Amino acid sequence: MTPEDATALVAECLRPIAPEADLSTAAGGAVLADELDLDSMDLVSLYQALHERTGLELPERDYGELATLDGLVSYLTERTA
Amino acid sequence: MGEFRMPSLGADMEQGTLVEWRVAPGDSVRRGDIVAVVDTDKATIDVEVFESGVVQELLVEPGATVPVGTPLARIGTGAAPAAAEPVVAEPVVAEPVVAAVAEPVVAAVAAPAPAPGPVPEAPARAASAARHHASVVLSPLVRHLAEELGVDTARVEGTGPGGRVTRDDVVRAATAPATSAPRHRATPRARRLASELGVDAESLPGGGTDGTVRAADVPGTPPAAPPPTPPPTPAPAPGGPAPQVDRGAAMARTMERAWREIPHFRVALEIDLEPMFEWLGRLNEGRPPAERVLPAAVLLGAVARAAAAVPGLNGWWRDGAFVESDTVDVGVVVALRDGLLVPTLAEADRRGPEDLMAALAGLVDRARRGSLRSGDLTPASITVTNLGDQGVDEVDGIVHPPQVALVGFGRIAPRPVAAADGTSVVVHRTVRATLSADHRVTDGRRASRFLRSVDTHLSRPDPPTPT
Repeated sequence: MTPEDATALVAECLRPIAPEADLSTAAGGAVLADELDLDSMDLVSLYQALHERTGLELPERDYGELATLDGLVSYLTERTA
Repeated sequence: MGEFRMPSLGADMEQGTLVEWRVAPGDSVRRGDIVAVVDTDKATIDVEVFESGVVQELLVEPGATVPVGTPLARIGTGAAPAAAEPVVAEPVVAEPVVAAVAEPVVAAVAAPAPAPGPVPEAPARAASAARHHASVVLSPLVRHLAEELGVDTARVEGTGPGGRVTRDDVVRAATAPATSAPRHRATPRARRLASELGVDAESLPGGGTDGTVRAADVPGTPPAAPPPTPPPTPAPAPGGPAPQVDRGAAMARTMERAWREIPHFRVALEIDLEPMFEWLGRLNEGRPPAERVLPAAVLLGAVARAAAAVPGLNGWWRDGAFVESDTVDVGVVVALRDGLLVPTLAEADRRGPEDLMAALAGLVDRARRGSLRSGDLTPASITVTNLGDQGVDEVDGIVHPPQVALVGFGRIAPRPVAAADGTSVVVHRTVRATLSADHRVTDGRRASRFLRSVDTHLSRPDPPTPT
């Protein structure tokens, strides 16, 4: 999966959770939850959607790496290579 | 034969508006089925029925606002009667549903209401209407709607039996001038409010930019063009209280009362969550994200078990005395995009972490979709607010009367704590818990015991063995 694919996948999985979220204006290094006003329930929904689409486990111990858009994209890019 | 009554969906609820029936006469219902949708001044609620049977008759029509306890429908064991028998004295043939079901409301309101209802003037108004227009009998519902919409019913041609003015007639009269006017865009909220009133939102004059119809434009605002029927009755004052419910105002009243009446005090405790994370990590290992238990659910459960273990904070201040609740029903503050709701998670002290997590997720989801059930609004005995996701360290909360205690949690964050040896510092994930309480009922000693009990349940968690 290329970084572009990963970004598109994140955007797609976010749409039902935060329809008004615009990833193109989000700072890649910022914490996604703060940037998009997501709470922990929303994040669970996002991780679940990504899990279903990629088959990745996204274990809790990796949540730190998944907190920013950049982190999420590089995580997905590396693990699905 | 049983009666399905307007439920009490909160300690301060006096009346509710029937928005929609989900059943019809003749339908079989089972305990727990959603049979109606009711609007309180706080939320729109799916109401469950508490007995099984067959719907015999619907007594109240959508749009009617009635006191808590008013019979809404009759539920029996047999089949529904072939035809509804309206409680009207005059001969009525094939009366439209509107008039047929509206009349029993008069009876229900005029009879001694089981709950204090602020509608004693309704029959009087109906009677006075009857005096002025002997041939036109108006149900309080229709009259009320006419007032809201600024329609003079004396000038409306009734299409009901005997020239009766029906609800539809009133709505038609109110929206008549707009049908030839350009249609306006309406916000989703305005459309919903309007449809509850039986009005086409897009036919209303909009007060927003580009003439968009906003929620504030929906109720009762007379059309901008010369109204077809100048209202002889006092129309709702511009800017005055809208007939539609204002959820923000309800919360404002509750908070105002809390601040005025409750002598608040607060105790706080920083709780080390590493022990919780240890067992929670094991519990969540290998599960897909959606099946993992979040710390928020564990914190909630710890509060509930503390409420059961330390008496004196789980209940209500009533008539100058504290009444302890038999069950621990936790009010959960849920943030919405435009305000908040506080649905109830019943018997939270008896649920294990997975059960709590599922219940909490369901509650939050229903609150955000605006489809809470009546069971979600049983009166809470204590409330929890969790601002952890908002990134603040602590909450100095306000108790929700008539409750006497509110527990607040800030964010879970790595913080320096003294190590067990007492001579060095380590970094652990901790949360700051606060308890706001009513000093008429309790004191600092008991409040401190309560928070230490929350700590105990979190620090030495004994999650119930999976069943």
